[in-house]
Amino acid sequence: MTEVEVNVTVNGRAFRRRIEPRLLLSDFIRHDIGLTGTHVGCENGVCGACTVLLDGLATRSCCTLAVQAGGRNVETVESLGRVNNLSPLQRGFWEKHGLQCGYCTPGMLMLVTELLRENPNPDRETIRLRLNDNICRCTGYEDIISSVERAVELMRGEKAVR
Amino acid sequence: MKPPVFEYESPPTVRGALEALSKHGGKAKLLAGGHSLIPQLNLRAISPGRLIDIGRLTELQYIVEDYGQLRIGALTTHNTIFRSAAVASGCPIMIEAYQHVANHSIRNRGTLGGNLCHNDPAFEMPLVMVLVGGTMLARSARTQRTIAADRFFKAPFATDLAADEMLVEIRIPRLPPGHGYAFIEISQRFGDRAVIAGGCVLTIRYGNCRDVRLGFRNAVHNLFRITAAEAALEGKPASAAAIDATAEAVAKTLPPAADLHADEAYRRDVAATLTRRMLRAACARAGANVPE
Amino acid sequence: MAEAGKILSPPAGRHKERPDQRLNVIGTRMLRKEDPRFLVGRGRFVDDIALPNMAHAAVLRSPHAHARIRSIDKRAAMALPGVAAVISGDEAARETGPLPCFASPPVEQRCIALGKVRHVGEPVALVVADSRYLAEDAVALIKVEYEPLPAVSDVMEAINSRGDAVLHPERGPNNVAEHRQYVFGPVEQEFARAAHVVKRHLRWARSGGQPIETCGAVASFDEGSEKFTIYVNSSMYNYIGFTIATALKVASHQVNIVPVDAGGSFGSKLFLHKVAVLAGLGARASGRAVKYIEDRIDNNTACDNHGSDRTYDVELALDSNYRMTALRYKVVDDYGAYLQYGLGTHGNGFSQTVGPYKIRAVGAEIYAVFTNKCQQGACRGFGSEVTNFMIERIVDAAVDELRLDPIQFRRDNFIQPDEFPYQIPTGNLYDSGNYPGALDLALQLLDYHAWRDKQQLMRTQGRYVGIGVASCQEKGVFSATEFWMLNRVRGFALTSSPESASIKIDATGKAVISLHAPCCGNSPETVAAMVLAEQLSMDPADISVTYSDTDHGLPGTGPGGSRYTVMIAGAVTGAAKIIKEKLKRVASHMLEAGPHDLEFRDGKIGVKGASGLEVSIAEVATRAHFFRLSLPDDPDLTSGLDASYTYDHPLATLPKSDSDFGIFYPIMGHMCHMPVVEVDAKTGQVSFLDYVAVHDCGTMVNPMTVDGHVRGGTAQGIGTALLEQFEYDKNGQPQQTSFQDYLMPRVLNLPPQVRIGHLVTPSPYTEYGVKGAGEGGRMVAPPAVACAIEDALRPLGVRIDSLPVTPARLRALIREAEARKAPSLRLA
Repeated sequence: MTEVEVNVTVNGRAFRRRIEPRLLLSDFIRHDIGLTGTHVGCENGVCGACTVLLDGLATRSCCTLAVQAGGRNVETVESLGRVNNLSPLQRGFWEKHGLQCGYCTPGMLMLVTELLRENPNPDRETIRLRLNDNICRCTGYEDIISSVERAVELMRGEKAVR
Repeated sequence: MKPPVFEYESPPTVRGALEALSKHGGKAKLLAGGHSLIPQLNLRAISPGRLIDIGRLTELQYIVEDYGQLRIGALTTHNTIFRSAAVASGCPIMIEAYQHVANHSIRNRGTLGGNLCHNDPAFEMPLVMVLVGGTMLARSARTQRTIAADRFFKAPFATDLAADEMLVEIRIPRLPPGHGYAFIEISQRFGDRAVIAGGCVLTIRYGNCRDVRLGFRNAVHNLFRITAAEAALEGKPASAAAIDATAEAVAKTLPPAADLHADEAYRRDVAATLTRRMLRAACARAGANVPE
Repeated sequence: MAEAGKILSPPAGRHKERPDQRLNVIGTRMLRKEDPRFLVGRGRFVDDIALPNMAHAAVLRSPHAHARIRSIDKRAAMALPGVAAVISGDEAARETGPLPCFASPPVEQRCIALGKVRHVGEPVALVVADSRYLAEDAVALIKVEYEPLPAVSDVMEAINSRGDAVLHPERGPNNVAEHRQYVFGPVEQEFARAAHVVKRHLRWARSGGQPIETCGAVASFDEGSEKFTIYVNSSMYNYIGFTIATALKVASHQVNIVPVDAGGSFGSKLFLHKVAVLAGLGARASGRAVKYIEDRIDNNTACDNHGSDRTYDVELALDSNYRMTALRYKVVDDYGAYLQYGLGTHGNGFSQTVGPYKIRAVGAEIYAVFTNKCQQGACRGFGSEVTNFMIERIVDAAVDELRLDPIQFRRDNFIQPDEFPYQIPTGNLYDSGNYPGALDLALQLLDYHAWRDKQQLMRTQGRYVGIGVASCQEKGVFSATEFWMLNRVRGFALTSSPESASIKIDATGKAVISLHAPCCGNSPETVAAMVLAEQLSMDPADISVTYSDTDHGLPGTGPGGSRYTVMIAGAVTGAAKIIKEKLKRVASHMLEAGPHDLEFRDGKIGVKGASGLEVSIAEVATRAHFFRLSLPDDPDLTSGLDASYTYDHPLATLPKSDSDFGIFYPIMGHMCHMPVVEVDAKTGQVSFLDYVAVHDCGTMVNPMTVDGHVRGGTAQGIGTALLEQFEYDKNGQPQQTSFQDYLMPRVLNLPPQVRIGHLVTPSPYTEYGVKGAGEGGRMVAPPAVACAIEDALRPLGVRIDSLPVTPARLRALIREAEARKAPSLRLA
């Protein structure tokens, strides 16, 4: 299979690689770039664990070829915050027990990141409808919904402080 | 579940894509959003020798309101259409159906053209196109032609497009103001492939149902309009009796369809229920409230 | 024979920490220690492991449900550039032994099928290549000649299979793996004199844990030391990990199994052997580290994910006062192609086989049958969730047929709060409980009578709204005897099921706890840190938790059977007490006070009643580590500050006979769920208007994580009731091979809120009175939802005897019911 060159920005850093065109974006992120926070659950486009932002839009990286990200901007969970400097969204999940095994969590966080950028004040129904995209097997979702609501509060508070 | 080997090119223009198609024709598949194609590749259910990536052809991403019609570029993403005020006013049944198209994340990347060309018998948009009388504009390297929606969808997963043709635009005639419409879908989880989905459009003139178009998707067949049901309602008053008669016509003529998620009796049964519910909703929208 | 009833001389508890104390850390909603790394995407899951020059494996899966393997031509596969090895079943059988099996006599299963395939998806060859992509390319090039054999997919047919249709001919002439009968108490007599007998035929389809992360392993073989290192997302490696070494034909100390974070288990990762052995086999054959991660199809078709697959004929005997006296059932369980856990899931059910009720006698006839399907594994509840379904459905049947009140009937039959510890007919013991209290709390939280009023009103509006109730047990903390007590041949009758914790406090006073089983979403670091923080009055921020590989591991059975929090509380308490003694000894010299006059407070050790006289744990630790000569010359006082403790099951006894299994699962939690559902009778779709879940898991270490398990388990139970199944067609072809068709609940399938209530009846046998909480939700939601749907459709007379209740199935039941009511009317 002929390789192609791809230039992708990941979390603000530019990468140039020669890859097989069949390489999935999920594998490219995890193994070529080495960012293992994005997880793979089904490779079918059903569970959403692999969700990243592609040019700001929530995208299932297991249903996207890495070459399709060429010239585009990928954001993964690693861009959100650090352990000693969690983002309000991450803090919301921590405070409200929005994760148990942690495997679906990066996908949830990126899905919600897109939501909160387009709508910083979503109501519960909007949150539930959006979270319906992704499957969590541990939590039963309620704590994830509460985590998002808490994140909204925290973000509102931070804006108020500023 | 990784894709098999394939050749890949990413022509920068529509012309380039058409040239590639005419060269590689039957051995190539077009890659738009990829959310139907890539899961199939991951399952190794298909093994195309070549992918022609048209995902960056912005020239085919547009929604234009012409007098009397909407023109949508084939590579416009689902969410762009879902959020469009022009579509909301010009073709509201499309917006109602869009709630059921996959989910938000997939709609970010999936395109209307990709969806229509895939013609999965559970997909909603092919039915919407047929009900509203849409037209597809197809181009090849040397020709261009329009194909009416009811001739475009040939069989499950197959369209009328030749191997060297690409769908470039979808044209939707503006429906009369005050028209009635509804789209309802039944699935086991919201956002799943439909078990059965139904849509209808009509107008009410002097209390009678006119220009009735009614159809279903059953996830098995290349199913669209149920003409016996349309005939049962055409010209009849918007009444419970007429709606019941239409529902019975649907139950009688709907082709039997069974799969993993539902048997034939269920689909037949539910299609009749959906007929009643969507006709009531459509009539109400057209100004005629029909009591239970 | 075990006599059912209150135990007059109950065993004494040997716990060190009583439940009714003022606690500072235990019982708080402490934020989890596990979260920060997962939130920033730095968990360490098995697919995150990358070793130098690592190769990747893929498996060729059988397309046939039953066939002999005539030949395997791997030349084209081997010729593909980048392929390091292609291993067939014959080759694997030279390098590996059979996979571990709990059944006795065992059923031989191989990591790669040897001579014969017995289900679709069974591995037929292993490919090792530079990438998973290449490995799958090579898999597609392997040519296998099969001689198809008759495939049996119907369990009743399988009972009568003969000849080539028999999967394991060495075991017998047909596909009955086991046929056992048990009598606990005076079953025949009670049925003979019963005033009423109620019967039901019930069906529980197979579903599975389906965590979002599949199973996988990364193995390397060091030729210099002749030692394997295997990373695998399994939990029992510090218990029976040696069986993986045996399968790889090396001595147990030639394998080091390294834990990783697991992305959910729900039983499916309890004891992974296949992936570990395949990766090890590939590593030894190729000379490279090998990663084998199941993809979703591998996992769905050939895993340890499938749960019980049962049909019950159950009868209930009642006296003239509507008291349940005896229960009798025949169950046929479709085990698939192998029998890795023996009849464990039925033994598990014997732990709570009368539910919360005073049923005096139980008769059980069990058929375990082989079919050409993936074998059963462990799925949240391990068979007892099905027992709960059986019990509550027959209770609801009695309520229905005898026109009783569902609440009062349960109340009248409950074991009463003053009757604990209570022995049930199988010999197991229920340690404590308050079942009427749980029921009352649920009624109150739901505002049951208000909902009944609303239901009346909604019925007049033509709406089908139902209120369900289910009162069920959640067994916790299994004894190892449950693995073999139903075996026909005793086999390896192990009786230890311990858990260990190792604690060290370093020279600066920071603590590190080593656990010997991994994290799979069960919050082990949080629980362990909270218990230690409570014991030492330390700040949990000064405690970190790590996980031991088998080289450094102590006995650790791992999470499963709702045991882990109880066992870790015991192990950490045990180790903490040893360290506390030493801390006091050293501190007593520093403070010139007797050790008995000292207490732990706010990270310090001080003299009771003298607020100024204290030293920090850090100061004591420094002294203990570095200043031996400034402490008394006592040969029993060594430098350092560390302790390990292996905590055995707090209350287990040996089985006495086939009618008395002794005490094997006594830490008994309880749940009462009350869903309110609405059925769209025309489409068969079910939605939730309300949901109350009352759980009694004794003392809660962290109520926040308990609630998380309640919600997650309830969601899985709702999935089991409405959506989930693994089906096979008559040719043994699996129908749900990926997430496309195996449907798990999404947000909108679930109640908008699960309102949780807690009732606490501490265990008299565990540290702090903790009980298990991990499985409960899934163990009660299915019968609760079935009950609610029946209640909603009561005007039509629909019975729910079979799960899952998909829309198509429910609509069919409604149509039949409507036809029965008005056969002359045309069906609309």
